[in-house]
Amino acid sequence: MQLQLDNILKNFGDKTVLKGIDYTFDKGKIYGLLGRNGAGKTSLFNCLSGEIRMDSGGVFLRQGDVSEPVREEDVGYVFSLPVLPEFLTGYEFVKFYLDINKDQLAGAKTVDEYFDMMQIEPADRHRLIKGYSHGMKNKVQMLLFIISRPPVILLDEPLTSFDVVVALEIKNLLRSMKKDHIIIFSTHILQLAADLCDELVILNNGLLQEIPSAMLQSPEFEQKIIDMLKDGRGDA
Amino acid sequence: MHRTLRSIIKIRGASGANRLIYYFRRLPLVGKLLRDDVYARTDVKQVLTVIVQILKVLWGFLGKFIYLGLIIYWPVTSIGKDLLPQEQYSLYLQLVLLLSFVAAGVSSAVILEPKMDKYICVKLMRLPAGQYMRATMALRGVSFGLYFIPAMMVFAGLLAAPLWQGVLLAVLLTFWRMLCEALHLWLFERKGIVLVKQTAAVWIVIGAMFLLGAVTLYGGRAWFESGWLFNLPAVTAILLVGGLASLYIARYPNYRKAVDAVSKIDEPLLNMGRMMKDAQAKDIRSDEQETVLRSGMEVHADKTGYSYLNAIFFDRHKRLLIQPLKRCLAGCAVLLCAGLLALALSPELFIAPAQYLRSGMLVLIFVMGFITVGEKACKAMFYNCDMSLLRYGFYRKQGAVMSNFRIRLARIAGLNLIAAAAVGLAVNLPLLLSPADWTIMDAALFCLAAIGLALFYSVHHMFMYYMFQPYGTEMNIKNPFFMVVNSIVMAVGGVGLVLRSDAEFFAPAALALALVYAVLALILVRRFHARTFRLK
Repeated sequence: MQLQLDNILKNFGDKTVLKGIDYTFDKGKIYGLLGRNGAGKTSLFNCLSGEIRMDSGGVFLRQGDVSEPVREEDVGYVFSLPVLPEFLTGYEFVKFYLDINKDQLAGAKTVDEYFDMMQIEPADRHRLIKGYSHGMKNKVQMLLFIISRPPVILLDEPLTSFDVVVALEIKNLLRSMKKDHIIIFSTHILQLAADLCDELVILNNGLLQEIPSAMLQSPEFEQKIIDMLKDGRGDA
Repeated sequence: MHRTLRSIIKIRGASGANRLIYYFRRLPLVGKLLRDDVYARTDVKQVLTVIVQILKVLWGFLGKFIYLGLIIYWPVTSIGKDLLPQEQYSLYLQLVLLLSFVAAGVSSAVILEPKMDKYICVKLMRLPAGQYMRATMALRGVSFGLYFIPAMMVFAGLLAAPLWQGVLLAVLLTFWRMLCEALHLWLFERKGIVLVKQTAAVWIVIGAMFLLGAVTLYGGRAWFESGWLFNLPAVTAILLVGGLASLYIARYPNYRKAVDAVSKIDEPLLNMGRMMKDAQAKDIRSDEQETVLRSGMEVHADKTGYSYLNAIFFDRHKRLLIQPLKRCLAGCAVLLCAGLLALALSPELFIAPAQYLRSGMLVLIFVMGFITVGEKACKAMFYNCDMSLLRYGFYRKQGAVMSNFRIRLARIAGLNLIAAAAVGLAVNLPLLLSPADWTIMDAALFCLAAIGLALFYSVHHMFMYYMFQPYGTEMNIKNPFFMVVNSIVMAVGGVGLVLRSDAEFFAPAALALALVYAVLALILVRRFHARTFRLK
């Protein structure tokens, strides 16, 4: 399975943020998306998830020889700022999500089993999401793609709000899930990118640039990435 | 001081120009004429700054005309139209005294006013607080007087008083208000009290003065004579205390403290936008206390999916939905009791209203528009539910949107139908029992019209929400077409029904219109929701 980005173009007013992005992501890998503030990482994610419309281009999911436009339900998106209906309790929201996806879920766990998995205490499950900490909200967001297991998982700055224990758990979870999914996550933390990702791509000047895998292990990795982001040319 | 004043005017001009660009770019169609980079164009900005300054000065003069004209001159001349000009002038002076001298003296003092400008100049741009305050107070004193002079002269002339009295009144008001400013500052210095932030006290003074003004206005007699104000000792006294007050303001040593007290970053009055947002958020917030106790798991265990979601949503927004209905039911109960009491005392009282109702049933358009719930419920749906869930692909899918739409419409229509039934009962029961010419058929038509309109408004609010999704994430209405279309639909409905307003036509027409509207709404929402029901 591959996720193919074909000439994605996105303008905001007079500014072109994505300038015709072509790229192919493969199943079984975790991709780290790096870019400076305002480079367009979230815009790219929003286009991939169908939340905003791109001005031209397309996103396709390729299985063998068949390539089809990606559907909204093919993409699980964890937002950098958790977005959840705050009038519900965590339990109610997850129950609702399980209900509406029950046709697609084979062998789904119970609501409590999912909460156990994310180590959310029983007392917290029945509190309004409004009162959750940032980290807890993020856990609930993550639960959604763990439940529905969409082929493409996008994570926008996902691990920054977790404490070290949960961050490690989530990293392990992502590693265990990657064989069946295409996982792309944006981050500013180079260490995390080098540690978790199989591939790194840089979004610079509205285009995606692949970083050679060899560079990930090189001692000058950090400096090279910073130089690339700084000079704005993105020429590895 | 001259340099400080120039800096302040420059900062105000530049931020005014930025605001002008910002709002101009938001106008439909023409907004696109200004490009993103216009903020960086110094030449354009300079021109705009000059335009803003000119507009500000013009508004300064115009504002005084509007204030004196609408709040004082117009009520005096329309309510006291039979009075002699000099009596009207006395009333006019009396109102100026109550509102501009007393009420505004308490409520509109600027010396301790929380203001963005103060925050920007002193806290961000690091202008010394003393210099800033002295410069702005000098500017305020001069401009306040100048802006008032033409308006005071014109209205004095219109009331057949000498023009010099208009000029003198403006000068006296300026000096008097300087005294008020000084008193505010003195109170702060001695007691640490910022009077303009004592909302209750300020509103009590404003309320009392307006009430006093209204009483004397309707009483038609002024207890005030112009001679009391325009005589040498009074004028000298006001000029003297005003002058001394200005001296106190100029020499006050602790402006840093005075500015700090009202320009903290979390000062709600500093940021009206945020205050409005907070107030609106409060207005549509969920009922939280109950929720912890009554988990949706137990109460709505039999429901699944979108029924479950909406059952909990409506359960936790009862205050928003049930309270207006309760108020409506209470109103209907009072109306019914009053009707039955009137029936016992004087049954023939009902003859005239029954005649009126039969041909004037369209009054129900406004009654039902007023009592039905919908708009606020849609706003709560957006801010508390859809704003977050619409970011998820599954929630934007047709099945989800339509399922939600139907459940919500049924729920709102159910509440509004209860209101319609209550209105029907409260109006019809006394009429049917009375000797008035009001048959079962009339009662049935009345109820039919109320039901039709309740349905119409339920569909209308939901349709407008789903087709125009007018709300932005910042608690503001972002879609101007929402307002326009809303008004057009109301006008078309109103005009169409006014053309034939007899009950036999009106009642079935209202119901038919509501049903057609419901079907159309379902079709159009299904067809266009992907484009319209999104986050903007």
